[in-house]
Amino acid sequence: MEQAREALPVEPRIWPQILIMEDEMSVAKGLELVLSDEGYTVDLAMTGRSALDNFSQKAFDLLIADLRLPDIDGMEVIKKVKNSRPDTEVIVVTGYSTVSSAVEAMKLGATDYLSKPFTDDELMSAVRVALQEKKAFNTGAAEAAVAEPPVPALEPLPEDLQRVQEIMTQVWKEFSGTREELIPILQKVQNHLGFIPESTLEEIARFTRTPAASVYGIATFYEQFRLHPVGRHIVKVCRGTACHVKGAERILSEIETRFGMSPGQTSDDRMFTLETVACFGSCAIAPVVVVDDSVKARMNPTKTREVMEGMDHENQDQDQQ
Amino acid sequence: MSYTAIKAKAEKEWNWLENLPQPLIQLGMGTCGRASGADDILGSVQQTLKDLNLLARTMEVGCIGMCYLEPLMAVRKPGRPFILYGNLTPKKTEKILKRYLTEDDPCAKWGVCTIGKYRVEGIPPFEEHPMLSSQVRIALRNCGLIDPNNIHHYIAKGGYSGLQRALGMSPAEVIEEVKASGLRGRGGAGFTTGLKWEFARNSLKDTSYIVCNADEGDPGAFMDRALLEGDPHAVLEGMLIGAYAIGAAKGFIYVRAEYPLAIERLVKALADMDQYGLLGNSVLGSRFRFDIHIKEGAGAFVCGEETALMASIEGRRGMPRSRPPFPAQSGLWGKPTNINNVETFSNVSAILQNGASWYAGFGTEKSKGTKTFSLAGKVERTGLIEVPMGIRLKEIIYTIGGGGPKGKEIKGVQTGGPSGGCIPADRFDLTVDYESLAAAGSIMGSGGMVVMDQDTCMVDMARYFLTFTQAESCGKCLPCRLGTHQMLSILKDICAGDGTSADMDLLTDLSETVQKGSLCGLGQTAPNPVQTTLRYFKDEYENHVFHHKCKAGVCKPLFHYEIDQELCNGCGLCVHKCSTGAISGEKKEPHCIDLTKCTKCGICYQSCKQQAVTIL
Repeated sequence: MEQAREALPVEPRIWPQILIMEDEMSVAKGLELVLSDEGYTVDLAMTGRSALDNFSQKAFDLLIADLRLPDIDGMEVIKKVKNSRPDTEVIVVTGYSTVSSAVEAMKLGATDYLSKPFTDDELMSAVRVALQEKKAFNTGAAEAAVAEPPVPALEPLPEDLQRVQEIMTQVWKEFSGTREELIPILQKVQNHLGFIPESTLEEIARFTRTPAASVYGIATFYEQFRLHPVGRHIVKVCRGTACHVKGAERILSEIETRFGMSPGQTSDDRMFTLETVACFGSCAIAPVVVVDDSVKARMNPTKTREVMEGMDHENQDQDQQ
Repeated sequence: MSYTAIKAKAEKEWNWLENLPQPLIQLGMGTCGRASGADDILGSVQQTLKDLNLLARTMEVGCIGMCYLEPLMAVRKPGRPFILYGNLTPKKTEKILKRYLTEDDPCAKWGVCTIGKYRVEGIPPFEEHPMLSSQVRIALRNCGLIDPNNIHHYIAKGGYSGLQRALGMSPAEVIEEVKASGLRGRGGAGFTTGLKWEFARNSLKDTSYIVCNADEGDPGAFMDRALLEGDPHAVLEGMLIGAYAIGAAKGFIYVRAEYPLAIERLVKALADMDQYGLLGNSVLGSRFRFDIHIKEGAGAFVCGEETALMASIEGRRGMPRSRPPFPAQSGLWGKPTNINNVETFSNVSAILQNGASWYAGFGTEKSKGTKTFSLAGKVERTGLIEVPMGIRLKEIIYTIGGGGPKGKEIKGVQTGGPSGGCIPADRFDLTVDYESLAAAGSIMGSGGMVVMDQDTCMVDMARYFLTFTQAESCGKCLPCRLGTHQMLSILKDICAGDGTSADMDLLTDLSETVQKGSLCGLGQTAPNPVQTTLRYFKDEYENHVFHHKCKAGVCKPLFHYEIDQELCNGCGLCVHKCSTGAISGEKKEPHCIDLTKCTKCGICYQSCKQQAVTIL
């Protein structure tokens, strides 16, 4: 029974969750700062017992463990965690490093053993390696499962639909209702809402005296138009020739793995929508990524991730305010 | 207002600017510049001037074409030439301004070139810089030198004198002049512009339309964007001349929605023209009546094809139709319509300003004048260039472009975007004109030029272009819709290592069918990248199919990385960079890669300073 429950896939998460088990407040806080800056979700446990309590309540992807603790020996905690949740990765950090404890930690399945003091970069690279292994472990298990169902398109929010009428009234005023205005009208609606609600298509058809099927035909023919809502920010990766030659594919796959969305999809928190564009015409400064309306030059996977994470934090701050 | 009055006003402003008693600072604020951080540089300039308590003017200009050095700034002190500085950061900007403006040290080591009469020691003048020395700038004559938002600057540089001259001629004479210049359409196909105008003129009954095609959809091309951003009036003047010649009273500019800055510049330019009587019921006091409307594209590549473009303007799905009737006979709403590309119009205004024989003095016998190219990809100096027709490819790539970055070997160049072909490095003696590019299996196209080096796989490149054309095929005609789909799936197989020798024959067959059977240019040219790579890089296809090897290290199933034990000095950089922990080894001892962990991301290959990581 116990094992069967453990084998169930944990709920899908974008950000890996990390537990820091460390009795020295200053060290613990320092680690927390570095890791949360990188976008990880971090919890703290000051004693071995509270670490085990934490694990009984939720699954962590990674445990960063000190060995000398006020109550239980750190090695014991690792052993118990590895027993109950074998897919948890462990990194040992200790001020009293010995060869024997290092060997013991590795035997228990720790991926790395860092002796204090260590630099932020050493820590980050150890964390990255550990989480990569975790991913390999998970995908191995997922392969047996059925292929992922297609992600359903987002439904409009009620407040969006409330604004529709307001925008349509503007449209009736601004345009005269000829057929050639069809594309500009659709562009206007999308500029205001970020998408074109299906309900407006019929109204536009009546206004321009065009069959509704033609309006729908146009809205689906042109790449620009979207019939479903999008996230707060739109990230467009250019797939022009120059960008392709200079590694746009790698940027795209970084976003896909990091934020769990493929082109055309929106992240679960409605923060980002990922799109690809045939060419932005900024080829001399390739590869480019366009975030909302600002063109970012000479990008790479890390820079792109940092830009997106920066916006994510900004928004969280705004929301809190 | 009469032209002479406008001209006098504009020249007064230009002279004032030329003889400014304070320093003048120009900043390149095109899309490339802004993306590289020109806004921060502007902030830094303003802050520094404030801190130093200096009086100086700042001015926004368009793209000068040296995109690899963006962000750029040009500084002029009274009585001195402009000095162009590149690769700026806010700190560097502050240093330059401080040293040059207060201590009179021009910071020669950071100077790219000087623009203007006098010389500054240690900095080459504009004309001698290797990227610029073989260029002839006609279409781009003002780009990066004037403020695109200021109509006075354009007029002071001779702008609208071409229109003034045309209005004094009969439409037939204007058409003759353009014909005599030998100008051919710069959108790619190279049809003689004067002849096209004549067709439209001859079928004129009551009304006709003129359209500027700025739907620059080719991936890897950005000439039209830079031109519209840097000198919109040059294009608009050409359009007015064209409208006068064919008798059109209404014009449309069809611009891609992906070019917001170009649209912004056009809106401002049209408002200024309206104010000066360059649009409306009586253009420059004559009986010529004309208005221009901007139409934003909605993201369909096929709308660059003229019949599809017209369908889109009319508010329909942008699908091509068969010709005849040609747009010159029956175009927008059944009226005669003339469609020209952005660059063509910019050349037209130059021709009317300076005369047909001046223009015909550039280029070759059959291809007159100059052509702009966007030089991008694996080349040292990327940017926007304009060269006389008949220049050799090697001069563009090695002299102007400066060869491969980090001394890597160049393999070939793709001209004409997805409709063009790859020309291998051993054929770089080829001259750039419509005929010789076509003979090599490629096309002039709108002017995209993407350079590829040893790290580019040509099979993957063909797959990439087919992915694009297949996705952009509108689906109306069968050869294009299904043919591109089938060709793409064969190429995907070859890239995955599942290709067979029959696949290559099938690709050749299909290419011909799609080429001959498709309705419009998109389908007719879609097989070009496949055909040229098959012709020039057959060994790469064979390596993929028979030996299951991708020597460029692009097709993941067909290669792996290995560390050369002789070359590796054990610096550990790759261990640090590798995100999967696949590389191990003692310090200062040769390392090795665990292939079970390696994801072939290529970071070790790119970061190794000893070039010890090899592709096998």
